[in-house]
Amino acid sequence: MSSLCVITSKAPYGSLNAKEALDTALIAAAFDLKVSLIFDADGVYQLLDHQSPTGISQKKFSAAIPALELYGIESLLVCRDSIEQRGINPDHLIGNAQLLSKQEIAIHLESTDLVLSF
Amino acid sequence: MQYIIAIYGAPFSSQSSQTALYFCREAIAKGHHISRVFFYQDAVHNASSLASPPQDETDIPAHWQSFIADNNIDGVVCIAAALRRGILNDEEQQRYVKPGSNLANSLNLSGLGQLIEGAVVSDRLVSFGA
Repeated sequence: MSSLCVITSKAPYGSLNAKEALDTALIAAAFDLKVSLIFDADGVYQLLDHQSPTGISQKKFSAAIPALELYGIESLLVCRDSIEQRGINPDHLIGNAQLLSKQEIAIHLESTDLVLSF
Repeated sequence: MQYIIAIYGAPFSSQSSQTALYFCREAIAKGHHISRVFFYQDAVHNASSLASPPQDETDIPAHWQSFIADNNIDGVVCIAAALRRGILNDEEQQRYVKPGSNLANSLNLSGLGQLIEGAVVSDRLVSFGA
């Protein structure tokens, strides 16, 4: 089984980037790849709880996160530096994401067959 | 070596489409094989047959469309990304009752699975971000 890591590094709203990254991860899981997701840079905002985008007529992005495990994406990884730089309390992240250092992320990517960066 | 190329950036607001085109030209000149080019996100605008830049500027969509035809490359445009950005073939034009279609002849609309499947069977996946 090939492994694929999707790196998502943009905020959940303001562009479609986060949604299109997530779609790619979901399709890869449907193709039976071993899929991991890394939330990096502004991508960590995707995991914040209490999102309320009704004012901009958007769907709530974070609603998709708890369902990822059902679709076979069990590995949700978060860049620790990125949340510290943004002053985010890890307790406010949804989805049982695992915090990793830059070095741990590098090791993870080294052991992954395919990487798609968004 | 067999390559699959993924492109995310729009032809005139990001460098990625032109850089990817030059990469592909060079790869073929060096004897490599490009099995598929997958246009995703804003890169779907490369598939429009209606882009009409001034004559003294590089027509990146037209260059991509002819490069794919000339080299018998499987040029795939993500259907979900294309439809929401107004890139339609005749079939989708009829389905959504729109006044016209604009997908270039050398390209096809298909799903993200084409990117994943192509990446698994190729030697290298090279992506050109926005």
